[in-house]
Amino acid sequence: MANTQNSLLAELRSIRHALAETAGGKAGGRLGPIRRALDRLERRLDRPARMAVLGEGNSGKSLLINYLLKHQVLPSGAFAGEGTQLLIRHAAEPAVHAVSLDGSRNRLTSKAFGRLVKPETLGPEPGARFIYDATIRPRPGMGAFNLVGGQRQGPQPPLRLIEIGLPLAFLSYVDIVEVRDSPDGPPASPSRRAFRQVDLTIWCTLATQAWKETEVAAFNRIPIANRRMAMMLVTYKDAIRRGKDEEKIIGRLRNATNTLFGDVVLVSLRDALQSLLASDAETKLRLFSDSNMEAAETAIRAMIDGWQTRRYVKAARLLHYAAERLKAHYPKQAAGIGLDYAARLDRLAAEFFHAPPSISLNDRAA
Amino acid sequence: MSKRVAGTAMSAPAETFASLTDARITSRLGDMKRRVAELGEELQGAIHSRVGDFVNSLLSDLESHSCRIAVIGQIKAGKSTLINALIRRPELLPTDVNPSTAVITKLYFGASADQNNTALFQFFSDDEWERIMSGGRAGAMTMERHAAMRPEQLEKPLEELRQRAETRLGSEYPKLLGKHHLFSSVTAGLLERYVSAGDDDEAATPGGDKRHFSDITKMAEVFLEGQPLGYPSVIIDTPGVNDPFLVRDEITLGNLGEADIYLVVLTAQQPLSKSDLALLRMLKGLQKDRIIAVVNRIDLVNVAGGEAERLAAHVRASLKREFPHVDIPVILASAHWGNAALSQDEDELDDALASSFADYVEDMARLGEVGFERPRADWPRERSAQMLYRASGIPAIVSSISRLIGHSVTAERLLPVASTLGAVSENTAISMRYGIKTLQGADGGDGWLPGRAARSLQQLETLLVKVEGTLAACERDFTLLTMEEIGRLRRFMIYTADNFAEMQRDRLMQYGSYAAFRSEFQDQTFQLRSQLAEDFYKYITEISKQFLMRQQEAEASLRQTVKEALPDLDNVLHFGIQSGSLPPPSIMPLSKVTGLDIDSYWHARAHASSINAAEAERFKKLVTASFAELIDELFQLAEASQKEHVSDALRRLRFLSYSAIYPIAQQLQQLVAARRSMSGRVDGGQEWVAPFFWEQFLAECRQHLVRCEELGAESVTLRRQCIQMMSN
Repeated sequence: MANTQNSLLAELRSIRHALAETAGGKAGGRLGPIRRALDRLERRLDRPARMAVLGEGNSGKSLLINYLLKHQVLPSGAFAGEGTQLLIRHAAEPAVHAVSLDGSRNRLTSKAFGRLVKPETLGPEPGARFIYDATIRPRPGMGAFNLVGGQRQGPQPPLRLIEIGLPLAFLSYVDIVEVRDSPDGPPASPSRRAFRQVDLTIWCTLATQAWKETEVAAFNRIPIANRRMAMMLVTYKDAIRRGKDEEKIIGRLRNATNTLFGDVVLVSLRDALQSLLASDAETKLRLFSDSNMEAAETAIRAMIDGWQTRRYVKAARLLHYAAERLKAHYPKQAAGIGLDYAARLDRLAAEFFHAPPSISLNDRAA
Repeated sequence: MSKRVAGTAMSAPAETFASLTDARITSRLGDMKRRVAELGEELQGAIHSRVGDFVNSLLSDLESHSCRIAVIGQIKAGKSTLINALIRRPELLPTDVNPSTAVITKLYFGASADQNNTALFQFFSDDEWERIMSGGRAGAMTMERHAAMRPEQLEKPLEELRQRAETRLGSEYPKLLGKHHLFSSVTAGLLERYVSAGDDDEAATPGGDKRHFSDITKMAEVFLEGQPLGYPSVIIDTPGVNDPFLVRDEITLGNLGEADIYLVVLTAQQPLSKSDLALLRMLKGLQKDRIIAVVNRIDLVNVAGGEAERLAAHVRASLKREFPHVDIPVILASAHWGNAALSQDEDELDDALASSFADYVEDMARLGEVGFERPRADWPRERSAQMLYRASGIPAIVSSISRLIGHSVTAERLLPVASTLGAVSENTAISMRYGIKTLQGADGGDGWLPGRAARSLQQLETLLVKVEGTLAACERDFTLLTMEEIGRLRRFMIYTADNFAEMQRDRLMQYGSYAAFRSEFQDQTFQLRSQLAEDFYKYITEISKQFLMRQQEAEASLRQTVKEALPDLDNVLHFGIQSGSLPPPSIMPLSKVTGLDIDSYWHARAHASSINAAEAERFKKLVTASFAELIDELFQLAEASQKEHVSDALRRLRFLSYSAIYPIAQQLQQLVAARRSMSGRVDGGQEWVAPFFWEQFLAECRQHLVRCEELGAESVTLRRQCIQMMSN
């Protein structure tokens, strides 16, 4: 899909440039709004979907991200990293930045990052390992990065978020935002700022504890625009001992959440990650099918696709509208050229409308 | 819920597991209690019958005292499962993967034998049901203020609840309201039908034998044999808090009452989440040593490689940070392992033995925890099962509970009772000595007796009147003190809440929209609640301190009154030592849901374009009213508990004074009566008393005195032992 998107974007850009050149200074006044609209559209289309992974502490958010990225990006555990916001996005080379409230960015070393996501008050933890650590050898089935460079962590302005840039294909479709609760505040209430531009939401919840009042409240507090497309991932399937109970839990959650979530899927992230690490094919397959991750990935893909489709349909409508405006307003003496551009815009609109966006979640990093 | 025969829940190799639990302290406590009761019994023979009634009531209070242990926590924390493991009946309380416990269930252990194995289920009364159906307090409140709005979030589950009750019980179900059902045997299946929320899709059989009553059941009381904690106790299972079904939350918090010990069940997967902390903050002001934190479900986390230790350390550190002055024991537990160890089901046991259990045990052994050892292949199953039970943390919980019970029961019950009994015997002895001294002066001859005895009796009667006067003054004084102080505290709390409401009104104006303000507001109310709880406890403790001081003053003035009336007494009146503090009233009302906690309240306002002064004022009023109602309820409980303290104190003062007065009076009366029957009139109208009788009478009095002194000494020993137990 990336190719389709790139070619559509390239066409959009070339129309905009051509329009600017043709119109020059003469008709700029009238064409200005159209050019600006196209510019905005281009910027809006030229960003990946932003997916927020939310849920109460230890509900499997980090495990899910690690699984989706097929890399051990984040530490996880019963009390890993509380009170930080993470943004994981595509970058040419792996780098971690601390972004402070005033917008300044500081590149971090792996150690400094470790301190941020695993506060020292929790005591030393021999098990905490990050992909950024040069000392870690990648395990078969899971990639690892060696994070080099970065600054020592000195006194910092108030932290807004930690931005992790990674050269992973998956991230060119989706940015991932993870909001980690702070244990000291009131029941989970990620700041509104954290939701800026969030398009998709995955709400993680523990199968054995799922959908408590605090979760209901926290979810309802997310601005509606940011949770219109949401799914519920019920984690720790492995903690449920009887198959019949799985149906009961899912049944209750579907009933209780009504239309809040497009999908409710029960998974075992532990099994899914074990499946990645397993060496023989049979174990791999068994763990994967036990984990029910296939259903979850399908649901996530459907959600991203749904969002892309909406975005494309919107883009098509906007382009068509721009073409109409162009036909109406282009100066008489250059009507031919104007019609020409309008036709190109309409063609592009049709392409956006029909281009079925589809991404693959399975393209693992080379 | 497994469909296995319920009977297996009752049979047990459970005794082998009992030996693992350390209930030594509580069983010593039982011994102690027996000795105090014996002292009381013996005292009965040596004291006046009026005081005897008082001693009787003290003893029966002590006898019927049982320790209340409330098991609280969020929904699905595994509370019922944990209780099953704790009482060693793995399938008694119904458990399920979905929120299951819908009803507060009290399990009584060590009640009278004829009650054993009975169960009493109480249904909601018409009024209560009406109240629930109108959305509980939260709903009523919101509707009152915003007539246009029906909180859908409340209404929908309520309608479902009503319909379910109707499907399960038939349309005649309202006839059951206000009634109760009593059963003379207890099975897991029975509890399932009254306590468990059950599945929504289960076959409806209204009118049948298998009807499901949980929807309308308010409380279940189950009386069971045995004493798993080594001391008579009531273990209270609660529906979890943090339930989206708000009414269930309200029921839990409203009916919990006070408990001696709170077992807060956390889940290892999300240890100490925010709502756990919220719950703990509410308990914060409690006298220390009432809370035990149990981190359940360690079977579900990866405990190998020191993770378990870190988990415990994390919980301990967070608790220390949150409650620096309270030492809350933290126990890692797995109710699942506990029940598997107790279970008759071999597969279940094998599964558990093959789980991360072995790693965990090894870890614990490495840390030097006593009794932990990795099971070896050549171990008999029984031994492995015992190790599994140890790993389940249940024995540690029992030890912890018995330590706390040991301390609190000794301090609050045994010591005061032993000491009061001691005071009764001392006072009786004083009065006997006085009597003997008075009588010794006479030889029983001449015209001494009738006149002297009558005068003495007259004196005593005047004294009694004076004592009554002093007691009446005390009653006024106590009532004034407690009610005035409580009123002041209440005004202070309402003032705090009003201030808060005003501040929030201004903040709302600053924010300019409900949506933006919500999260800060909720943060703030959260803090207000814990602030109120803390203030309340602080002040109530202060009041009880003052009250105890006033009691001492009252004791002094009673001593003075008696001394003035009977200057020849060779000692002052004894009143014994009292507990240094009084049990605080419950503060559960403070954590109840209000209209402001309901999402739909905020939703309905999320799009309000601007907040004008009138709107902000309305908001303020709702805040004020919400908190005023919580505070009202809080003070209803507080006043009731203070009244009880006052009447207990007066009873004690009254009868301890009597214990010094009645014996003298009794002696004199006896003497007069005896003389009348034994004496004869010899010629010439001379009175005559048989000398042997006179001697015998004095001898009896002396014997009586010796008995009282012995009992007094015995009570001193008991008191010393109590204090020793407390310092252990």
